[in-house]
Amino acid sequence: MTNFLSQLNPVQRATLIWLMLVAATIVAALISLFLKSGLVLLLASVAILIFKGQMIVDHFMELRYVAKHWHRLMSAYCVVIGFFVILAYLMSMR
Amino acid sequence: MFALLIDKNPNAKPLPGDLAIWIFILAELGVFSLFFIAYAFVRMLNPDMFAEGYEHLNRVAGLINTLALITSSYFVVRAVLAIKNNQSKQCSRWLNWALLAAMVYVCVKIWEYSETMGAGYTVHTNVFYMFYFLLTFFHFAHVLLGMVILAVIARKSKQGAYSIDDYSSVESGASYWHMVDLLWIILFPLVYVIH
Repeated sequence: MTNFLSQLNPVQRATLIWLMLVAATIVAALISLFLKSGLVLLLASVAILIFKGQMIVDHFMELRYVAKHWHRLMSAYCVVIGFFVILAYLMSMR
Repeated sequence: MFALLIDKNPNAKPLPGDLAIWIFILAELGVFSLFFIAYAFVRMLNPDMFAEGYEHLNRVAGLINTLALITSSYFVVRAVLAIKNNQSKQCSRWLNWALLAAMVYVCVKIWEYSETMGAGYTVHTNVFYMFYFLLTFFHFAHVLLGMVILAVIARKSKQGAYSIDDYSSVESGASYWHMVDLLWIILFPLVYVIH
């Protein structure tokens, strides 16, 4: 995936990322429509959230090749929020 | 703390824009993270109330707004690419497209609020609506601020204030706008998708 993206010119890459973000958003809306509330919907939503967040951090914010601590900090943001959302759900199951 | 913010790797690219905007972005993300986590845990404590509130949400508006902000962010990326090619006027044009997409978000948000409040739901209705209005309006205010920043940069870019040698302000504004997009990317599943 990363190798493929690096072969594209910046405009092509940005356009492809934009299309992927649009597709991921529509998929998230559709699973919300067709899946009943539950762990599967939650995990799928968080997975899509992390994917989209990583795309924005890496390619829109252009943090992929900056100092690692900045890249890790920003990449971790969606993961941490997703973790707490799942944790809250699991605690409600007890 | 500031030692952590300084790049020690000589091969790493510099942060896009000014360091100050990134410190501001971190502060904003920190504040929003508290709201997001609080929302998740309060929902855990009030599942029935949140399930009922979710049923009354305008989910189409949430979807349209997500697509509008993603598209706006894409136009901002194109604006940054244009100024890196020394195309100042092209940069301004892409920023104007970004503002147009942001206006779609603003109009849809106003429609969503008027519909919700017209149905009698306000910030005082219950905890769900308190969080719904608090989170979405706080984000809405950030969108408005971002639009002002983009409009100023677009105007200055049209006047030729930026070039291939000096576009740090364009990158700073773009980074702020992408942060606004990133926050909505989290808000959308949290409020409009997960139920």
